[in-house]
Amino acid sequence: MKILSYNVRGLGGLDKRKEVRRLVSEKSPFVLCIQESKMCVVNDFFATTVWGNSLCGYSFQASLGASGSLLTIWDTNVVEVWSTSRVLITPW
Amino acid sequence: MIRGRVISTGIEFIIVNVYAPCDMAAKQVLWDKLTSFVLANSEANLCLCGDFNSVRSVEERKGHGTTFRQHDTNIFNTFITNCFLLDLPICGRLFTWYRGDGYSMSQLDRFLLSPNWCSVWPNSAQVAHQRGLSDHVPLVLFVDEDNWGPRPLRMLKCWADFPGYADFVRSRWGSFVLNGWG
Repeated sequence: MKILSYNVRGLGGLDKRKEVRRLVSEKSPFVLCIQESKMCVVNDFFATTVWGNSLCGYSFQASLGASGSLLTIWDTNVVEVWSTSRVLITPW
Repeated sequence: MIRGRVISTGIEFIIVNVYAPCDMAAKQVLWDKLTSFVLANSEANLCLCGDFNSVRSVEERKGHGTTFRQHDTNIFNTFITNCFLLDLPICGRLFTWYRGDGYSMSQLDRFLLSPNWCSVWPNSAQVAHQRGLSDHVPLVLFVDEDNWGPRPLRMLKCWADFPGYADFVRSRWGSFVLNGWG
């Protein structure tokens, strides 16, 4: 059982998404914690393109401005997640 | 933050995905919020991971022209101590972030584990992997992989009955060139 954590510095580009997907298939973590996804919106389709084909759940926290945005994805075959929460700290 | 359980074993866990701000005041707010969360869940198998944007000591940062921020390190260490979190030694490489100038690098990313996490999964280990497209490296926490240490040397007594056994072992033994220690 593994957890993968990665500050990816932007998941918008296709190359980054390919890289993360390759990491997921290589390491097969049960949870993937992405920092600085720099995405504004994440939907089911996007989560699937990052994770690969198997079933997954996800939780997304958009941030104010360009940086930040956390994305957590987990393998629903391995874990059952019953609650998620998000906190955004603003410096002002 | 996600709260759930491992389906095969039923073991419950909390995993917190953290991206700490660079701003010192905002960082202090985050440490305070996380401290109350961790203490409120002190019995949980809890894992915090991500980019903490802080180092724990001067050894975790390298580079020229960068000033070491003692206060930043102090409040980060206080947060870890107050939460009773465990910071396992990092394997694979010492630094998780590289500026790209060849000089500046830091260990900004890590996994922090609660004492209960470590007693449920005592073989937890964090490994930093190769750099990819980001200036941070991917970090993996091995949770329940069996780690039995170095493989023991075994021999069967009957091998000694084979003709030429002693000569074979002697010649092989003499052929090894070893450096360092094991």
